[in-house]
Amino acid sequence: MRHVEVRSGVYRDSVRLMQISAAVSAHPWVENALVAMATSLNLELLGDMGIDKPAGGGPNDLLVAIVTANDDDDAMKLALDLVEIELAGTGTGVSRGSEGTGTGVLPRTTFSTVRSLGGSPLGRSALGSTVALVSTPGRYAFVEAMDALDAGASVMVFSDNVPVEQEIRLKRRATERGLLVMGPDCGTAVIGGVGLGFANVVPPGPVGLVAASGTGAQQVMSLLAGMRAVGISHCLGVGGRDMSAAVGGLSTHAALDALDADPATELIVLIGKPPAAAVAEAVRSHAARLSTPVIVAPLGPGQPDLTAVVGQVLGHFGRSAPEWPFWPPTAPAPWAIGPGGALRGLFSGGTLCTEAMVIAAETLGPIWSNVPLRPEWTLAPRSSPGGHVMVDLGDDEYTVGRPHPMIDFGPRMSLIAAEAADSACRVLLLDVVLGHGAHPDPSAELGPAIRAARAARETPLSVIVSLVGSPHDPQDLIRQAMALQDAGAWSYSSNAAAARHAVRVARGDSPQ
Amino acid sequence: MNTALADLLAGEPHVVAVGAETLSAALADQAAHHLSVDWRPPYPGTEDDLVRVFADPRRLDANAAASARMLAASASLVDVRPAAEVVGLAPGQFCHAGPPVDWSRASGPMQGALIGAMLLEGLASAPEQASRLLAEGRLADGTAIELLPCHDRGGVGPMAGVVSPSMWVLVLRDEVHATTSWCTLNEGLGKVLRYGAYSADVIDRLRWMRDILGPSLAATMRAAGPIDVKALIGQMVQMGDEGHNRNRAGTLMLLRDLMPSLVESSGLSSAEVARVARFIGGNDHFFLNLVMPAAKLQTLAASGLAGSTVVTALARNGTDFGIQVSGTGSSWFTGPAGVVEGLFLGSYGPDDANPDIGDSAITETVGLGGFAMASAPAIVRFVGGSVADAMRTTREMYEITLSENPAYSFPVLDFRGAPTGIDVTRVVRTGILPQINTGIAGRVAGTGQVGAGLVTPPMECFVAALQALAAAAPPLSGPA
Amino acid sequence: MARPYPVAASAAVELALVGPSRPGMVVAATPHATYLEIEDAERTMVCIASADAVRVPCALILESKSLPPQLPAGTIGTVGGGVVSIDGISYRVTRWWRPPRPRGLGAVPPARLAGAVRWLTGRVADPLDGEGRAAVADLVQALAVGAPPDQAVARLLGRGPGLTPTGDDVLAGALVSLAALGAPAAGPLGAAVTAAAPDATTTVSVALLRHAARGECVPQLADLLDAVAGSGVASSGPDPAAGALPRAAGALLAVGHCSGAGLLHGVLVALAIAHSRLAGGVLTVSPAVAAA
Repeated sequence: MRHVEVRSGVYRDSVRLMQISAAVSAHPWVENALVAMATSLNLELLGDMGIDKPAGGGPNDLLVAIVTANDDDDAMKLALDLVEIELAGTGTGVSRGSEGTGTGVLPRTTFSTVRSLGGSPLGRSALGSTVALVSTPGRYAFVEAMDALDAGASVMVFSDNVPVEQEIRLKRRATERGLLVMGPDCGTAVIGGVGLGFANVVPPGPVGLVAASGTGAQQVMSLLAGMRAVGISHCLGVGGRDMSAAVGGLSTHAALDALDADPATELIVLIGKPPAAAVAEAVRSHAARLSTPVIVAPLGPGQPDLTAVVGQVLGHFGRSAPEWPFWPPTAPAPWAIGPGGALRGLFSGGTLCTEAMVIAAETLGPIWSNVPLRPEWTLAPRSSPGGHVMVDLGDDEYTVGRPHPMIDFGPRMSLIAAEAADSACRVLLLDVVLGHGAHPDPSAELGPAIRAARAARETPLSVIVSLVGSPHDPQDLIRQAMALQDAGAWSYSSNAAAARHAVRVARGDSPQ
Repeated sequence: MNTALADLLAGEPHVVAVGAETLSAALADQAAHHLSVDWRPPYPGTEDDLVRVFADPRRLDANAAASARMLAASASLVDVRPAAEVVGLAPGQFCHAGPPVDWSRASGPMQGALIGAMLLEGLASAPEQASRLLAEGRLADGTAIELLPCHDRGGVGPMAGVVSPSMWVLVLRDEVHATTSWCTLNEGLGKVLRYGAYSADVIDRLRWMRDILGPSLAATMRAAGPIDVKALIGQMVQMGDEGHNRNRAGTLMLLRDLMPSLVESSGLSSAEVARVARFIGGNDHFFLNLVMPAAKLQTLAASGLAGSTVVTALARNGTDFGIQVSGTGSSWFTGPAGVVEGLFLGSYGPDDANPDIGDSAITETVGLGGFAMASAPAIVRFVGGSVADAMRTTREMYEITLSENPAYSFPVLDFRGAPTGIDVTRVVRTGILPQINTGIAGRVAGTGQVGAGLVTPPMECFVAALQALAAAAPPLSGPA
Repeated sequence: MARPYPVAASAAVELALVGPSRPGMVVAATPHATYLEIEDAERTMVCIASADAVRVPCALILESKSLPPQLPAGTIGTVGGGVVSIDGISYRVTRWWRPPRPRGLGAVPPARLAGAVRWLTGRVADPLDGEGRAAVADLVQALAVGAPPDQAVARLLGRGPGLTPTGDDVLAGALVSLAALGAPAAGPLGAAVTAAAPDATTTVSVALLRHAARGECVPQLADLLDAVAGSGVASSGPDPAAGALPRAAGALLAVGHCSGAGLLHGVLVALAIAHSRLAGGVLTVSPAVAAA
């Protein structure tokens, strides 16, 4: 039995809807359930369920489509009841927040929510100021972020798809009000030990990060988390475009000043994608004027990779870099050395993808990508040109109407299968990013997919994973590494090391 | 290094999360202090206009000024005079409630009230003649008939809000901003002109008000001196009145203040004094006509501030619902007037009801009426609700307003001030519409009141206002 | 076992928390805080505390609205690998926080310190009894001339009722303030206190004194020292009574039953030790207070 309806005035975020669809689909009487906003992409999915598109319905309406195994009404009624229970939030756990407002009416805007928080009896040095975390779909993010600034709160904009002129307006307003805007598209931040967005569990310490890239910061923090006494004071994300000529580093300058004034920060590290030359110059001279030493380490050809930057940080504190942990497959590869073949990277982290491309391009030449190092290496959307390819699944073309690829592995699972079917593909390079907010158990999904991909092949296929996580992360770093080992993959805690290994395999220098 | 940024890193943050629930869950997993916004997308199609308005660099200061001025405004009853003098109405000119409307589109009660006003002014001898002249748009002597919104003349009129030159009006003054507003004298309940009734007893009462009540109150006011209406409103909301559908305490306090001078200085016989006292004391809504112009003074103070998104009028003419917004001056943004949901008198039912009508929603515009329901539990049943609904309604109104008025504070909410200054952007963002308590007029001209209940404005008024605010905002890419 | 409760743990007790699993025993419990002593070499104390509890430097802070387990003293659990397990419940460290260690008070002009001392002594009653006051006077004198403070310390340790006796609170306040001042007396006093405390006062107090000797304290004390320095907290004008100082003092006095008063008095004692000219102001006891 098939059922489809469109409901207006009901909104849930895409991750929540994914959870609801999964919870309803899990019932034995339900063959398939799609509870999603009625975007054109989601309406297209109805065809696969054998359901015609309903009349009406737009991206602000909720689409409920269910296919039950039985032909009787009871199964459908039960499925719809399940949808109601999940939508009402009484199903799987929903966090409304650690504090009630005491009014019985939940605050509906960022402004009213910030204003509903009173002072803290715990003391200023226990509880600092209010910061807003905006993760609405991108076209709504500007208003909520501006609302936070209006209410006197600094803001982290996790949302992507925010136009640059909106970013500039937000950051100018923040400058006027003495506040900080982190983002847009800011994946991670750590303030006073609290992780915002995708956050690794990192011990406090003397290193303050200013990061124009989320996964780049997560790589640095995760490596440092394994080193005693070189923890993180704060990590302030600024958004990938902050150091562009248009934005002019507005948040980078503010973040540098904030960390310079912070007594807990003894060393500031600035990381990110390649900046505009004039902005880089201004930032460097600003950094030179601070009383706290600053390591300015943007990513790019000829620049140190993130792992090398961590080495510099350790050196500053008189420590030397260890051999970063890696985990080879449990069973040795049955293949002899060579011949090489194509390197295919499927990344959830944009900076990890860029770093891997920089490393691979030095040896392998052109790396085709949707986020290419050079314009002439641009990969047409969803095409397969042959040769070496690295895809950032966090880029807009994959994320509209879907959760972030660090949460939702769906697109990557089908791409892994597609690469396995392509005999030209010799080595698969994947990233797995752990921490709060990310997929709760990545190896449970990726492990079987890797095993299946390798089993389907007649020719060698190596799988190398860049496993970014802190030993304290909730997914349990070691357990993840062991599950990936069992699936036949290599795992590296250093993304740069993973990329170098993948390059060796692609060249035919390594059997794995 | 400024304090705000220094504080950001001084300790753990208090996180306000809006959007993906997984990120709130991640905060809970860290035992972090956090609170989630009960967010949902704005009204469809308003996304770009919201961005434009939020990017307007004038908005924050303009709204702060609008709020400050609304709270600072004073309101004193200073005089009672004929509308011809105060409003400058000539024969053939009539004010009415709500946004502009012509005879052909006017609703039953609006047409009925205009007919009654023609009769009162002696411009027609019978309802049929009045109706014909109004339809033709000319008086018998050829003078053009003009229909003008009260709001456009700085005043307000309850229900049909029809004002003709010989009617006496209460004159209120805001000394802080040196502005004046006005409103007619309330006729009482039942069959009355403002509900569209124009039978002989209605016209007789209006004549008595014109000949006896108006002049005697004028004389009384000359002796009594200004009466601080703002202070009376502040007291009435702590006495179970919400200032729109319940004005009992306000009316009695006003009578208390007027009575000595009425006896001493009005020049009326004791029998006439008694009739005036009975008329005022017997009409619980007499004070509504003072709350309304006091509210109008508050919104006048906030009007015309470029970039401000504060609503300065909610008004209905029985056909259209119209709003005015500070940043767009005197422009009206209209949509169809809604049907009031509530309770009906006697054998009347929903089919007898006219759509929403009257300027009295000016009380909601300043945080009274439906916004103050929490403070008026005695009338929640009258408008078809429960005490819990009343509490929730008032609390919800704080989500769409910019400030709280300490002059009108609600004991039951721990003396929180009235939610004041409706923000167009918040209405559109939250989908929460201003809640209005109102009377229901009969659909057919001449019927009068048929009930009372709750109504909200149509969302399209706010969407259109937002569009105009966006069009008036500087382009996003321009200098901040 | 049920899903572990997330806790934000103090980095000051990181080693004991992430190390190998060891027994830990409940030594004290209040409605908002349960103290466990871990059987490691340092006998590290950890405190599972509600989000609203006073944030001691060894606290493992629960989510808002969660309360710590109410267990009798002597209950044994395990601590290690980032998890505390006791009585079938486990608490997992999901975040780290750094307890405040006030610094930089030494650079504050003495005139400013004197102003703060004047304001505080005029408004805050000395929480010690007569014998305690005499011990404080001896302590100040000993440290001023570089003599060993052991005797005075012994008379203060364990003096007064409660989980952290008032005499201990005074010593803790003094230790943190001396560290913040960068005063030479911090070293000998810290050594004397940590040496004598285990045999002289409660287990919980011993642990908190150890943190104090390292300069670690509750946030309210850090905020007060911040206010004394006249930095950081907004709206502290030339008149110390006009803003930050009264607020911070009020918040500190609200800590515990009388712990806040003891800590605050310790601040004054430290200022007297470091700046002998301020000693008169601190130690002059008004007759009214003395009679009480």
